[in-house]
Amino acid sequence: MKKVVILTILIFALEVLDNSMVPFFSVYGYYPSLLFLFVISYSIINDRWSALKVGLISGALQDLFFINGFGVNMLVNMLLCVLAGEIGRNLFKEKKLIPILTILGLTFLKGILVYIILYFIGIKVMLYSSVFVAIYSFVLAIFVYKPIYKLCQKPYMIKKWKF
Amino acid sequence: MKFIKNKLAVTIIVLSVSFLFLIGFSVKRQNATFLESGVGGVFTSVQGVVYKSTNGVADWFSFVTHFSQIKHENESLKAENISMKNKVAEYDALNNKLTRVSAMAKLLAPGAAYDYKNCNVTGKGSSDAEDSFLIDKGSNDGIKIDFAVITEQGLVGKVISVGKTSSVVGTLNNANIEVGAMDEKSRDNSGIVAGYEDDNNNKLGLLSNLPQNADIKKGDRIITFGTLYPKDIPIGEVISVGKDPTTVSTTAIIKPYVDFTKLEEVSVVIPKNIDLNEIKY
Repeated sequence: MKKVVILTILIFALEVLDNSMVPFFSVYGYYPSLLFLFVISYSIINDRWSALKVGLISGALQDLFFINGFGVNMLVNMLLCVLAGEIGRNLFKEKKLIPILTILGLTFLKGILVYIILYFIGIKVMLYSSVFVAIYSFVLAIFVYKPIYKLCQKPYMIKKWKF
Repeated sequence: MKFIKNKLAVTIIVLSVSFLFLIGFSVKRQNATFLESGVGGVFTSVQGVVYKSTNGVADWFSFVTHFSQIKHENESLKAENISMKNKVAEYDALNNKLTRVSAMAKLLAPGAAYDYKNCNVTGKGSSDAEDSFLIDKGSNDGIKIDFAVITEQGLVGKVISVGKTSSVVGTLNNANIEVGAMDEKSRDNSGIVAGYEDDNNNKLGLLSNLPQNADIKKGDRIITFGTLYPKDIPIGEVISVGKDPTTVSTTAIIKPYVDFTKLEEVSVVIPKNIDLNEIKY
């Protein structure tokens, strides 16, 4: 239960920060999503079903303030989180090199997937901006992956989901 | 069939397909749904608080990241400040000038026989390039033809045409304007000043009709003696004296105190005991 509460608070807080504080720290207008960074890290560390759930929840929250197509982030986050969980199965998670490289790749992949979906529904966005966002996320991941890993190793976080 | 038993894969495929339908459906609508706008509203209010409190921090942060830009802006502001200071100084000088004009106007009114109407110069006259200019007062303000026009430096000329709200002033170097003048020191009062242009196109005045033995020297002050213009208004300074053997008289070139090309405000002298048919100063 404690795990659900902590995850909920973290996801909601990061969503609020993403929309209010992170844009102030933009570099040349590009800024990453802390929420996506967190859920991808969480997915790498935990199993695929947990990854599916956090992907869905974070995607739903991101879609609230997204362009008109509701569900874009839900779909993309779900797929990428499950992919991250799949990658995480074969990793030594306490080493941070491969996980942060995975984060770099998946963040870039998210930009491409969102671009493709938006392209098909007739909305044009800048593709190359996802490169900068991925690099920014990568730099942040260097610092935040270890804390997230330690959080996930706490006894109360290892329990199964109960909802 | 092994694939279908993989619950995770089935879940993902089902969800993906339903999301694709959801996207296709939601992209066409205009407004957010009730649920979306409700949850969005809660988020927006929380975000507002964080946003405001972050603003102060972000200001400092943007100062650091945009330091060179701010430095550049600071320099351009400095340059602007200097030019503004110059403009303020100019403004002060102009203000002083106005005070002097007003003071002079009072000084020039012995027994208050004259009123002085301050006018702004609004343009150059159309016909002769620099011999006339326009002022922003006319018959509505009591200005009539032949009234004298002065600045605090001296005589400018006279009104040669009047409209309701504007007038044309002929300057001293207009060929049609002649002024009775005298040497301030010797009070020799038979001279006439008319417009004169030297070889270098300098706008000067020619004082003629002086007697051959007139007591006039370079540097003397020439003033009006008060036939057609008010008395004792400075006109200019003698820069050279010559004898004219044919008319047996002395002539002098004078440099007017007023620079006719740089007039900004002038005063029209309005006599108080005005006769509509004839103007007498």
